[in-house]
Amino acid sequence: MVKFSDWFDSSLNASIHAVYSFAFIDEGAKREIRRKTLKAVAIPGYQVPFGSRDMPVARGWGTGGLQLTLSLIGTDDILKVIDQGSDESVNAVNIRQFVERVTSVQTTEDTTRATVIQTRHRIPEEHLKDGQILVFQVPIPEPLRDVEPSERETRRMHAEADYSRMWLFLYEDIVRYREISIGARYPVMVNGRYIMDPSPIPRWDVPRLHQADTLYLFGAGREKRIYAIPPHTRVEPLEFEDHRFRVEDFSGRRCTRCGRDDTYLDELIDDASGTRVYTCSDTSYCAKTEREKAV
Amino acid sequence: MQLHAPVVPTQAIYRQMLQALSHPGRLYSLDLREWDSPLLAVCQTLFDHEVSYCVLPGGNNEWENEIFAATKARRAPLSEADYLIVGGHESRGKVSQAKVGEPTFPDQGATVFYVMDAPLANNSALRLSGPGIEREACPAVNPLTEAEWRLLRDLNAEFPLGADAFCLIGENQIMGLPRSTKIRIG
Amino acid sequence: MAYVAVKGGREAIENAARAFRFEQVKGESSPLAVEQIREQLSLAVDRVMGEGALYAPDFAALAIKQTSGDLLEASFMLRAFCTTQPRLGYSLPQSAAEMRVIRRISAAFKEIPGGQILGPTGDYLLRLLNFDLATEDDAGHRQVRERLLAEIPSAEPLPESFPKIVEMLHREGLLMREDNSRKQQDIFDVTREALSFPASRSAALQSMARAETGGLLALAYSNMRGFGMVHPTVGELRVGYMPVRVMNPYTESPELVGEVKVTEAEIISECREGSGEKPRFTLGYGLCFGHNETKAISMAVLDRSTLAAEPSTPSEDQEFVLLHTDGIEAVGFCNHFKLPHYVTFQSALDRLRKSQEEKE
Repeated sequence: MVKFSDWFDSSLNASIHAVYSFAFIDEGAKREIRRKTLKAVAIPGYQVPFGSRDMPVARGWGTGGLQLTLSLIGTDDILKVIDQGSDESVNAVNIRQFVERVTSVQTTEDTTRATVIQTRHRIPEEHLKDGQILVFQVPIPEPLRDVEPSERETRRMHAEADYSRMWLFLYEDIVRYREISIGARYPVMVNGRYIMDPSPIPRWDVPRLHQADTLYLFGAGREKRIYAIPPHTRVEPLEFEDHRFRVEDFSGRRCTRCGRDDTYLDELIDDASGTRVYTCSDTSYCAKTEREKAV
Repeated sequence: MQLHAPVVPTQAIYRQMLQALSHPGRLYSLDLREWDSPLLAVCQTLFDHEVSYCVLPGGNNEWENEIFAATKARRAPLSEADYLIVGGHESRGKVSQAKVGEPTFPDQGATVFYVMDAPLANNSALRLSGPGIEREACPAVNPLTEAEWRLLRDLNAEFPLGADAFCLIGENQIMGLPRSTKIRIG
Repeated sequence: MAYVAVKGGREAIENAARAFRFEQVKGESSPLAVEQIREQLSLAVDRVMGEGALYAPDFAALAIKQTSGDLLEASFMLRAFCTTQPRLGYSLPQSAAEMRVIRRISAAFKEIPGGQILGPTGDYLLRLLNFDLATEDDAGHRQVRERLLAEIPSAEPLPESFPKIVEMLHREGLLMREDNSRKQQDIFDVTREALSFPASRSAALQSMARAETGGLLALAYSNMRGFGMVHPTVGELRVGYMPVRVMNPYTESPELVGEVKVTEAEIISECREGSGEKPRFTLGYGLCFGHNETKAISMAVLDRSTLAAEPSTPSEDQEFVLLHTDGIEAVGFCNHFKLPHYVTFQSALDRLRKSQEEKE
């Protein structure tokens, strides 16, 4: 018979010196994330609590999205990571390098080639297809948090679909500003049942959530929540008949790099003249447009 | 030196389950390299000592022990189990006792696996709609008896309360039926 | 036009990592040995093990070295390490009466059975800089150790265990009895499940055992100072070693696999009258890895304060206390604001300009 102390010591030592699990997190943790993700898909827009694990990346820096990505990814996947629309943003680079190190999967900047895309604050401009998965990093998953700080109470409000305080909040906003003043993180109604936080994407991206071909998964690591929008799901921004939801207005502006006038733009202040110029927030799409123009 | 171990084959099974649940009524093929049966593959993908399951009467007598040996999941009564396993195309009313979750935690509703050798004849009166389905569609094949479709429809009538189902069909096919799917018969 | 970096993120973070490393090695002093940190900065190691929720003194010391002494970052590193490790099993519940005590005091009684044992404490040291330490070398270090050993009067060895003070109060019916009938599978596991509220006591105690010392202290202090009703008396404070036993999977009998150093605090608070019962004292409980008395006492105060049925101050609100004292979560969120937010800022700019136009 194996001596108990041998069994205990050897497994402890082995784990210190051996390689990490495929995709870093241990298989028990992956199973839990997978179980919860399936429930999230079955109840669109509902926040499923999960035992968020500690990642070697700080909480609030994309650990929820990262855990989803690591629970999904396999050797056949091609991964794209963006932050603010850019593949080269330092946080995107950091997360992509980490996943590469612990999985050896292929990575890409081309939205159309990727099978799994992890994003912070944007949906890529190019059409996302059936079978692709977009993983959002979520800092504050609770759309009602601004009107109610208590988790216990917001959970009750969701359970009873009691959203009157949210509507009142929007109404008061209009009274004050004559417009709904929410910039990014615009609340949406999913499948006619749950109000959901779409993560801090700009309003520009919100219509892309509605009746998409792609599965959208949302991970909030610090707040320990997973939620989802399956493909072909009704997703409606909250609005009033006389105060419609409106995306950011870039009319009359175009990207100074690729010339597009149909993308979300970053505003830059020119050092020398102090004038405002614009470039595409989705940098890989911008580069692709430039390449196509050059041909 | 590679910093990581090789991928575990349950990853591929999970991805197929995820796509199946995201596209209710569609058929997906499970990559069963490591397994003889789709049931053990999905159980090993999701089960461990943290969850409970119940094999309903009528299922294969060996399943209960096989699943325990492979996953160490806990056995539980029908009304308490996280996962229910039904042999065949219907549960003869049993699945109506499944856990459906609480209004504050609807995710605690059960997941049902229907395990069958082959689908039934198509039911032309059957229509599915809801998240994951463009407009309205018939399931790719018909895995359940009409009584069972009615049972699932009634069980999930109080959405978001309800149970989610997967049909494991033949050697390696899977169909997802989340509680969000609206079932219309005739 | 303006220069915008669309490439070079990879290079930038690699260079930043080099610069961080250089800061650690640019001085001429010899490198810190992990064992020096473990032995000579043991209270830092204890704090990191507690907040990192992993009892591993060598790894904690390494993490302190690697993070240049940022204890929150070091704790964070231990937690991330845990994520990669399989869970081999669960230790069995132990009574703290089994603790191999090195320090044990009670503020409630002048004399206690077994006696007050001050043990290794800095409580009564004058906080004066000791300039001798500034010039201490290997020989001096050794001399101090030898002198201390020689000076120690020969004492009776401490008994294996001590009676618990609160047990005496229980026997006299002065203390509310806690329900300890829970089975092991009913114990909540904060590393596996997200907290929901009201959280069970096991969930609350686990969260606080992992919480940041400063966070617990601030909230407990607010309560003691006046934003709360707990007027704590330290019933018993213990520091010592707890045995760790697990079930042998082969023989199915308990096996001792080691011991962990812990600090345990039991604080006695004001009377509370149960319905139709005699008034009794209530108890607050705190326990954490390593020697960290501030944390154990703060935790015990908050354990007691969050029992309030109608919370009227932050420290009485269980959700407030548990969700805002995890150092690793708080630090992560605080620092994530350093990440670029220009997409959301652009969106906010659009709204602001629009409502300015509307006002005109």
